Amino acid sequence: MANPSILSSVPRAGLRVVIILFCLFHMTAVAAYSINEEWKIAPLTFTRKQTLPWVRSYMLITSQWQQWNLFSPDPLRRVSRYRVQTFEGNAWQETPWLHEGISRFHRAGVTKTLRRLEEQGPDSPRTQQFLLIACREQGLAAGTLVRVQRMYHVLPKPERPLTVQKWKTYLPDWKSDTLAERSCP
Amino acid sequence: MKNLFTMIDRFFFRRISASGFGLMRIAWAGTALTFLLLQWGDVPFFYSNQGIIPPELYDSSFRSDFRFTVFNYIENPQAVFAVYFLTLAALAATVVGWKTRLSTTVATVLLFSFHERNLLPLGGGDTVLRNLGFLLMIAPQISAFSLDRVRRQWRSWEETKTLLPSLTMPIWPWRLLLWQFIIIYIASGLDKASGMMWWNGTAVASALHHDHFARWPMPVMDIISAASPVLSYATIVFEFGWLLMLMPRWIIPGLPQLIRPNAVRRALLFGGVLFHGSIFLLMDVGSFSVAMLAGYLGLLLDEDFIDLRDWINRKFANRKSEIVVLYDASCRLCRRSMFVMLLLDHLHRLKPVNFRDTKLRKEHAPDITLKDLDRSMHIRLPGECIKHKAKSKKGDSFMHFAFCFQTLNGFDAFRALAWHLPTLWLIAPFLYVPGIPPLGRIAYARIAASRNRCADGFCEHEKNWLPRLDSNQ
Repeated sequence: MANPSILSSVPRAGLRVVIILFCLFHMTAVAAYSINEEWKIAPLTFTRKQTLPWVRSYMLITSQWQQWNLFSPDPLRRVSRYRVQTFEGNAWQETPWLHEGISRFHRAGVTKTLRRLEEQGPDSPRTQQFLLIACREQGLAAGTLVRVQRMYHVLPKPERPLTVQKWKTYLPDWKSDTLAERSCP
Repeated sequence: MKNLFTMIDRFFFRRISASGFGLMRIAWAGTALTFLLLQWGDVPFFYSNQGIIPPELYDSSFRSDFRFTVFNYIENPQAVFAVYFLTLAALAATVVGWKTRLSTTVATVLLFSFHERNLLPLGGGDTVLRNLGFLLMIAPQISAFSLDRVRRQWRSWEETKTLLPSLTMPIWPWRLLLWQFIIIYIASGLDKASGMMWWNGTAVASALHHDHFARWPMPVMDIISAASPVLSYATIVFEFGWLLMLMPRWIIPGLPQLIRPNAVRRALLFGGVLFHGSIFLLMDVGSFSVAMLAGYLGLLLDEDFIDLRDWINRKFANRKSEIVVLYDASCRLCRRSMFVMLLLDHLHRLKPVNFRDTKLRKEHAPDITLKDLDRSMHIRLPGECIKHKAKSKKGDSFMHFAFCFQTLNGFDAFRALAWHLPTLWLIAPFLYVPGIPPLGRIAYARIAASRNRCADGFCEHEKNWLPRLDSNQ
């Protein structure tokens, strides 16, 4: 219930006006920042373009930056596995894939990181750094070759839902390549 | 004009219960704490200068403007670990509500710092945690269900034998939270709608078969995939359903009961619990499901708590009368026990009665001797009526009393009360396990016997109460 005595009290009324303006600004900022131009909805794209210069600094400095493209526009279909291999005795050593033998939680962080590194293209500086850490953690001698090997397949994108039977008989078409390679310092 | 001001004022400053934000604070900090703890082994790898983003890669890894993180200044692994521990401590303090405002602010700022230091391991759940943390940091009242609040309540209880009224706050943080949820769902819905797989019903099956996310073996996912078309469309409908929350108030009186604001909000929250709960059970999507459910707690309003309480009381309890708890207000342990029980009395079933007050004792327990009351806590549960005969003061006639109570004391009273205090529901069944009741009775008797023992062997209250106790026998 509105209290008239509050409005008559200038400092408190002033504070209320500030809070209202802040709320409106915050709501506008969150909405504008979340608009994705890929939606191709002209009024929203226009609003984002007009508003973003005013709200960008606020969203960034308060760490409220956000995009809500979760499992969209289509869910992620590339399934990747990674492993670090060393070149010893004239052959790349067989090592377990990173999703094997480590805890689910550890795996989640590391595989998500590698998935992001994968998006940055082969031999990106951060993937090189990943190998550098592997050299250090495994105590590899200078000059030892190490690489991140990737094995991946892409889930089907059928036009109609697959039956349970079809999923049961689905065989992934695994491919493999090297994400990055370097020699240990 | 005055009406307009009143409307605006009410829209932003109407008082609402602060319980929702209190619960959200606990769930938010608990979620952030859990997921941060799970990074224990990866802290130097993710956040130190020895990790995946060393200083020489800063320029190509981060935006150059409006970015703040304490890790701009703290880089070596040991120091990063120290900040990590500080963050865990701040989150733990936020969960229990110790120095609530300070701990929440520190926890939020440090969480932001971790997220700004390395974007690579972040997911949707981390963004939700940042959003909730920010709202908690700026909300004027977040101390519901906190130790800080308990301390204030204790002072009030000691001084007035009543608890403080429920905490309230202006509604504007709630509106910002609701807006955040609307944005999340509508933006997510629009993004899905711009693809093909959600429309042709294949999206859920694809997501379930991605082995980064799948919690269950593929044969299980194969079977669940049969529901993919229904689940894909339901997801789109649910996400766009949040548009209903923007329905202006003036439309509402003309609409049937089913789509009034509370009904819509509750339906969306219920749908969201099913939606995020199912995702959590089937898929590993990091902290997203849990963080979203934590945020839902902040959307609960007074009427939700009241309706839930009434529903539970109607469904599972005899609400003809309250449970009378006869306690000794002259004993600190008893007062403290009564205070804790009242804090846990979310269903509003308990009525504390100080049996040292002769008038109250005669009103509520005329048939129990003071000696018995002094020996253990007694409770009177609503139950069958028992007729008693007693001599009137004149001694020449009999009066008939009808006690519609079941009386329990000591451990048995505590065990019965556990069913009425939601926080104790989990332990209540264990109090019936063979072996526990006799042990419980022994432990209770020992505590009760020693409750008045003081350093000098004779307590202040005993000096005060014993003569009266004698005269009342």
